[in-house]
Amino acid sequence: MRHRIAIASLAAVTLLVGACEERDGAANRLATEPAGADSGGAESVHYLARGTAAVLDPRTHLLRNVAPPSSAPSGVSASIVAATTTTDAMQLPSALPGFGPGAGYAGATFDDSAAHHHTLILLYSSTGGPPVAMQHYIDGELTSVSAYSWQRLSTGWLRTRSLLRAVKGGTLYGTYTMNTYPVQSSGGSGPAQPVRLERVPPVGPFERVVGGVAYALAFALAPQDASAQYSPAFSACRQQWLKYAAAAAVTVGYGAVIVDAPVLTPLVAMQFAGSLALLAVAEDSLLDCVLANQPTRTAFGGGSGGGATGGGSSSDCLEGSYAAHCTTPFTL
Amino acid sequence: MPRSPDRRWVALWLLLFVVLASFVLATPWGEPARRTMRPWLPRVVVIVATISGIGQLVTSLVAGVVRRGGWRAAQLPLLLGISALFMALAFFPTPPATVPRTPAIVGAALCALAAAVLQRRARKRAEL
Repeated sequence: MRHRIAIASLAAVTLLVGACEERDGAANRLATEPAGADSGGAESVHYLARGTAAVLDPRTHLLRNVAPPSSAPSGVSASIVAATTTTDAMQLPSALPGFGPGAGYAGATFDDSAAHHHTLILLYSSTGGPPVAMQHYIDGELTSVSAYSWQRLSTGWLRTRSLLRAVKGGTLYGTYTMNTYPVQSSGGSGPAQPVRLERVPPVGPFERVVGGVAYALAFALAPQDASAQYSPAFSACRQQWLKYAAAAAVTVGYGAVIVDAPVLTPLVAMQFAGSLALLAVAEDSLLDCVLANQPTRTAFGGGSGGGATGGGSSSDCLEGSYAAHCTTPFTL
Repeated sequence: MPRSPDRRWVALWLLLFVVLASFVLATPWGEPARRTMRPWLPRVVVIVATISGIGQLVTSLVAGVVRRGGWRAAQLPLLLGISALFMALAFFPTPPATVPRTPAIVGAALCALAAAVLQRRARKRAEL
């Protein structure tokens, strides 16, 4: 009985520690409402972001803003209706793994469920911090370029502007822009939706703990994005996993024979040694496959001028240019 | 030879060592060891498995036919021999293949597990 209580207490403490693991000193993750600009709790300014979309008119070859109709008629795409929308501005805490120390670039690759190879290239300015541009390649072809503007706050970084350019065959065919603007909490002006976000609701210690546990469980157990609902390290390496499991079964089987045999013969001992070698081969093959299918992150690299290599000015690359000199170094 | 309960502890510690070695190989510090062993391991498996497999088959033949022990005396070494030959086959027919073939390893596993079951039954019968 004592041991059960001790084990249950240990499990509960472990769960609490895990729930509190990602707490950021400035933005309290246990609170279910997003933190405002002032981490001290005396919130005076809140930030919202308004997005607008534009698509290329095939007749005039000009970008035209997408204006949602006053009322959503049937058959209108929900994405067009929601093209002009207001949402919370993106704020990032001061230290995140994706921040850069200075000028350069970083990349990540992964394969989706349709076997398309995705490459994300993040470009960083000389001041470091969050990436100022991102390029997305699918099967070696550039599909979108994004440019971000950031403002440093006491709690971290605020994205003041983002511009996404959708590209196909080197031709721009759509953009999506988000601009951030401050909203005074005392004024009460602005869209009705963010009214509840204009102040952080009081959260007691018990609610914090429950919220943290619920958040951790939801984060761990909730289904992820459809394109990432599988682990590449498992799905791409099924054969290697099967070989490793079979080799382990061989080793265990010979071990059981050795234990129960009245006499340990040299032949059985030799077979056991062979099974160990087979297990090592299978594990080696499995590790190679798992490592090869991990979303890789290339070493942070780049010159002192910006992200792209020579040939053209790198400043336009940091502003989301999809010119060849910005994208060629990363085309696979 | 030590009694079976003592041998059980030896086998248990040996398996724990194997688990620990597997973890070490999976770490970045085990990468150089894996690279060193990679070209040699398949050859070791083929040689050891072939010798022990043929030896077990001969033992099965001797126990079953020559000594007239019948099927009951021959089945255990026969299964062990087949399992060993499956292990060797995993790296054929393109030696020195470094990636073992799945059906052969699965066959070796099934035969090894069947042999373990037979051995356990034989021990139970002997204890009765």
